[in-house]
Amino acid sequence: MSVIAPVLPVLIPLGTAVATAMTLRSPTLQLRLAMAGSVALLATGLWLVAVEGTIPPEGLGGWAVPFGIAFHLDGVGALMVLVTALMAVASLLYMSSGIDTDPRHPLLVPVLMGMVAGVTGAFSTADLFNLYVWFEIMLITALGVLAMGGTPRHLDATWKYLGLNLFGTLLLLAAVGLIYGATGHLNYDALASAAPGVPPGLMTALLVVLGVSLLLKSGAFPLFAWLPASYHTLPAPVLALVAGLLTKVGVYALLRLGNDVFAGVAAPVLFEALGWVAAATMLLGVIGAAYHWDMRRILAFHIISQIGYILLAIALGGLGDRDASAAAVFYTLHHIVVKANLFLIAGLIAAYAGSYDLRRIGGVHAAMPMLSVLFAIPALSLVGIPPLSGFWAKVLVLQSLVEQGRWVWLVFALGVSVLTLYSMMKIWLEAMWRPHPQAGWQRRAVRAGPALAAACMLAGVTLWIGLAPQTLIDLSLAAVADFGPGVQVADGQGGRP
Amino acid sequence: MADATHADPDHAHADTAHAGLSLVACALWIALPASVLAAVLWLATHGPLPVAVSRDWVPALGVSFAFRIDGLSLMMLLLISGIGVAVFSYAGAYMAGDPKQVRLYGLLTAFMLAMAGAVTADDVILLFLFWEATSILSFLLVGLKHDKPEARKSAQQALLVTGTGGLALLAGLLILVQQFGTTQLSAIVAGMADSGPTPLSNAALLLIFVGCFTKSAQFPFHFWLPNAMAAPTPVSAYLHSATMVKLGVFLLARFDAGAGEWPLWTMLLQAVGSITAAWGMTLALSERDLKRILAWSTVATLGTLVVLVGLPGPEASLAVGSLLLAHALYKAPLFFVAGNVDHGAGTRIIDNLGNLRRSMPLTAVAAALAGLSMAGLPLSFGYVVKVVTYEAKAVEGVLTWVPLANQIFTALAVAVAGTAAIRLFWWNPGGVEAPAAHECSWGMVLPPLVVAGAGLVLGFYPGIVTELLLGVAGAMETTRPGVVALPTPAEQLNPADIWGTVGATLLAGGFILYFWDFLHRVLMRPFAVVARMGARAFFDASLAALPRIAARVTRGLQHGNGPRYMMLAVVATLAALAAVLPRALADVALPVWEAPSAGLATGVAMIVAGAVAVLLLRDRFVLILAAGLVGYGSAVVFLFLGAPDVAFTQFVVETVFVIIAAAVLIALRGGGKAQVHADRSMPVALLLAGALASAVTALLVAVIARPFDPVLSDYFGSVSVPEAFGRNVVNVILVDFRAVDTLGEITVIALSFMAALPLLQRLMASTADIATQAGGRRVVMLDVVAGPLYRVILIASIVVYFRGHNEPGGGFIGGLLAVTATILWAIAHGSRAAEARLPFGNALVLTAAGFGLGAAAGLPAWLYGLPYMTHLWATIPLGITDLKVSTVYLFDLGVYLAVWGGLGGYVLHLLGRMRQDDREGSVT
Repeated sequence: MSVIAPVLPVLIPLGTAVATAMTLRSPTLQLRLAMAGSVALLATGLWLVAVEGTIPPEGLGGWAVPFGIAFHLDGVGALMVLVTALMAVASLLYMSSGIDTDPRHPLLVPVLMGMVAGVTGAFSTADLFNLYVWFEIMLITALGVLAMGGTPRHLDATWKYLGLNLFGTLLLLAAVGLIYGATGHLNYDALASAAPGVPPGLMTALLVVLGVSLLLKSGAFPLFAWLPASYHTLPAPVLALVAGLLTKVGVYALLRLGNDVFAGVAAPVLFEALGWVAAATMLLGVIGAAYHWDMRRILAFHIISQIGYILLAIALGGLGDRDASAAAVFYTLHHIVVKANLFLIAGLIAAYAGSYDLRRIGGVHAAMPMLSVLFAIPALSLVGIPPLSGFWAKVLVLQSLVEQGRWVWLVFALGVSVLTLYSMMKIWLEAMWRPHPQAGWQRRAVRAGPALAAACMLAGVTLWIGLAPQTLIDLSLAAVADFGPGVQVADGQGGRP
Repeated sequence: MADATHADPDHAHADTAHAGLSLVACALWIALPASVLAAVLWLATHGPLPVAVSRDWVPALGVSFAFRIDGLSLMMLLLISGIGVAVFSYAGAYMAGDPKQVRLYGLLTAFMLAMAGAVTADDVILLFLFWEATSILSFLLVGLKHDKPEARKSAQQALLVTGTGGLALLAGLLILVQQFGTTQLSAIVAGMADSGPTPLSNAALLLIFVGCFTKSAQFPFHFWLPNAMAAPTPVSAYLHSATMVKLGVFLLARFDAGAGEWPLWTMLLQAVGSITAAWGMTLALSERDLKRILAWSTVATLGTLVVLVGLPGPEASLAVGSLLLAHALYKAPLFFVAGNVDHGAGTRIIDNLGNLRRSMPLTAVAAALAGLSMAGLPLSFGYVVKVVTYEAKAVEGVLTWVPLANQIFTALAVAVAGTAAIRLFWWNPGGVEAPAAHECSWGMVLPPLVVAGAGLVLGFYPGIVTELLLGVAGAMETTRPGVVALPTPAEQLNPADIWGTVGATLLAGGFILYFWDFLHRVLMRPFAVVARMGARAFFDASLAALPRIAARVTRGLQHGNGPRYMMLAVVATLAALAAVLPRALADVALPVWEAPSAGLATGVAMIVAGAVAVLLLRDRFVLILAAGLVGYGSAVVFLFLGAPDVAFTQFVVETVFVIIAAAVLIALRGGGKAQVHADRSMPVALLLAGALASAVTALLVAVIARPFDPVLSDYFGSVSVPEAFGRNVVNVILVDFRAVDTLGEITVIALSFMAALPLLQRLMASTADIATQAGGRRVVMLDVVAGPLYRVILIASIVVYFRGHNEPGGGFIGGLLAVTATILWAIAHGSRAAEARLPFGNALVLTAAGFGLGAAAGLPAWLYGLPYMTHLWATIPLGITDLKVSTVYLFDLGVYLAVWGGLGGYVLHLLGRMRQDDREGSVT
């Protein structure tokens, strides 16, 4: 099993993509195949988390580290694979109700499955160039789902997404090449061993190139313009998957490379800078959310804001607080679930009330009280109200801020929470409480069963994390326990067993 | 305000709707607080305090379900459950028949539990949980009638203020947790008493103050409370008078044992409390709505409580307990009275009310009983509080203005009590009488009567609560104070004492009551001036400014101009690089300039020429050729860097690209000039691009200035033949050493085709007209040679694929050759015919099969327990020579097919509409 395990998270969605590409003519079969694949991925993720990252790195092709490409699903990778699978299941389940994706383009599911493979690949790999390859897959599939809308609006979004992300991708490629040139290695462990040999000034500069490219992928200030320019054009279940996962891969890569692989050589000043970038990101993100009236745009800006929190945790982790790295993991997992669910529920609200625009809808609470409760769970979690998942995530970050005496960042974090509260309250006041502006409005008949089930499932996860946070905190702490300058890689002979 | 001016909005549907609850159902709801009250009373009479229970919750953070009930908690629990019973009973009648009654009961019950949790939690995180829960529930209760804009606005205001304060509280608590290494509240308080003030704990205290001041509506956060009166009366009586707003005072009292002697504590609490008491009470004069008048007096009382918490000495702690109790016993009934007046007379505006004793006699009695206590007349519990407070202020360390503020507060309190108890029921200065005022049902009359009556009973027998009050004081002090004798009725009636404590106040209060309307008119203008500068104005301005600022900032950042986004990204990258490049370059000895070989220079020149030409040229065909020049230049560079294999691949890729692009242009009749965008940012963009290129180049120079560690390439070179059985190292790297990268790349090819297909289909649909004109063009020569040529190219591509492992070639180049064959066929016979000739007859299936095969080629290794993508080799003896077979060839075949299907599919779709016979039905 352990020979198979490290590649399963990639092979399952990849195989599903092939299978669904072969069954374009039967949308039902396509969805079933994709669901089967996602459930299999979920089972794999659960198993990986259950064994708690004890699977050793595997040199693919039988080539020993550092010569071939190694996959290594440690604690962090396993958790990320699990949450990715969960997102895929939720998105597909939601999709089967047809909300926002009816008629569904036959290629949507294969492309999404390819995207999932890209995401899990990035979480599985322990090789810098290979990481780049998975980013490429994510880029191309994201462009695909954006362009599937086909209208000029979608194409404009696609174009802006392409322009900035291509820049980020090229920068990433440049960084990978430069780092390879400077160290002679691509394998994470080998890089960790070789990096101290590079003069510190040069290493810092190389990490800046790498960092900037990943910050762009994460949606950090001032490189986030592609995100609000494009996300709101996607249909709800696709948006949930894209918005839940893609920026988080950038964040994961920053965490992995900054706090693990290059932890020994990354200068503290880099993390200081990251902290300020994070502060600006969280503030400007939430301000953007305060400006908008389209629920998808509001939520898209909240991604940026929350990314700021995670980046802050990464910065604190890089400045020497291992618990903060665990906080970043916890925060990421919580945020993926919550943000995806908010997009799903926004889709439901729009389906029932007729629009994503808060100025055109209302009366949801009176018509569907349970839907508003369903919305409240992720919304309050995003704000950080106890005992929901977001509260613990925030407490973990705040604790680290207090511990390190980062008072200005603390003020940013608290202020942004207030604005997040404002923003969620805005959705609540306008969509839920205010009577529908259309007199005599009746909620639309929507076949929403599976979509509601998906949203409830994710809300259940949020509640579970919130009520029993110990499990996930333990897992996050264990996941980053081995972070930092790794063991020396034997420079000896690899080769076939 | 608005709902006070028109009749009785709560009961609009009272007669028609039957969605309200039956009497039994109401009784069951009331049983909830009643059972809590019973438990609390049992605890008060039986249990030795404090009682504590604890169970781990989040050990990683030290958080546990820890509850601890001491005298202070007990007092709060008593208020929560006792007033709860009254409020639940009142709500049964008040909301009778209203469909929202169940919701109200549900929320009130949740609120009661949250309050009970907040006052008993002995873990700061747990405390914060309940604290936030009360804020959220308050939001929902204030907004109960959420179809009204003012209800929504008030709810929003209340939650924003208390939510902000909550976050400050959390920060303060976390600092204390950090400082004392525990989340246990009692341990933290004890630790504070031991350690004394430090800068950090003072900062924490300030943050906690913000939390408590917002919750208890202290200056300058006092403004939200009167606005929260948009809530139904039971909610106002419960949350905004008796319980939730006391939570801030409660938490301050909790910390009194720890920080009560700290200078920051005594100074700030006395100052803020006094301002709130005096100013809050004065603001009552600005109102005409009875409920809002009462709300201001609540604000002021909370201020007095804060002052008392801030005062040193056990007497003050005793006074805190007494005032907490007394206030609940008179203010809740007064709110009920306001609700009854609203219900019975249809308005709460005092100008339109008077002499209500005739129509509402029982409510009048309740108002009188509560008013007595509020005014602090002897034989009421209010008087007992007066006496105790008087003693509390006789200690040292009282700020000079505290007594003055207290005088203003008490005098106005008398006037407010008079307004509610006398003016409305026994007097009619407005001269307008509500025509159809009627008494309310028993359900609405009994609760105020009973609660206010209890205040009177306690005035006669203050001894009943001595133990309770001592318990409160004990919780607030490090040592429990000795036995205190509360004034007996006989002592209360001592004329000298009366004059000394309340006489002057009563006179002044009576004066204000009499001239209330006059004072209101006189003070309106100054009130308005202050209101413009006040915290509420600041809050409103901030709330109004937020969308404006957000709009400006967001439009500035997210302006929608793609090229400017790019420029910002480049500028940011440059700025980051500029900060680190100097040190990077200083770290290495820069290499000596070596003149490049002529070949290398040619390649570089080609790249540069191509790139510059792309910028300047406008003719589309020439543009494609110029772009191709960049690729060919790269190929030349590879060639002279000693990588002929890569160079060969690059040549093929570039050629195919040029062919495809040109073919598509012909198909779309898109030759001619490209449009030139007159973009003023072009020079800046050029400059930025140049700067970024220079910066990256500088970094590259710094990297190559150091010796390269060739461990990987050496290894590949040394084991390629003996272990991977291939002489072409490049191919072995692609299909074996780093096969998973290649798998990713063919996935990219396949997925990019899938991603582009919807767009291609749409594009083709929109250019159908052009295609019609183009249709019918045929190159006869091609028809003739296409057949043989197609086969020749395909065979060649297969040969290239097979020899790739040892000689230059491989699946990728083979696939590209196959694509050119397909292009040839498409030009000769049309895209559909070309696609039909593909394996599976479908480009999409072909490319999917390709990357599926590539991925599957790694699986057989598992049968032998080897890692994924470990290639297996076998030798088949053929007599003359042995044939080596391997999964490597399967993998490379996957590459071949994925490229053929993916890139071929692109071309077929772009060429799709070239021929007329392709027009019906799209390819794939």
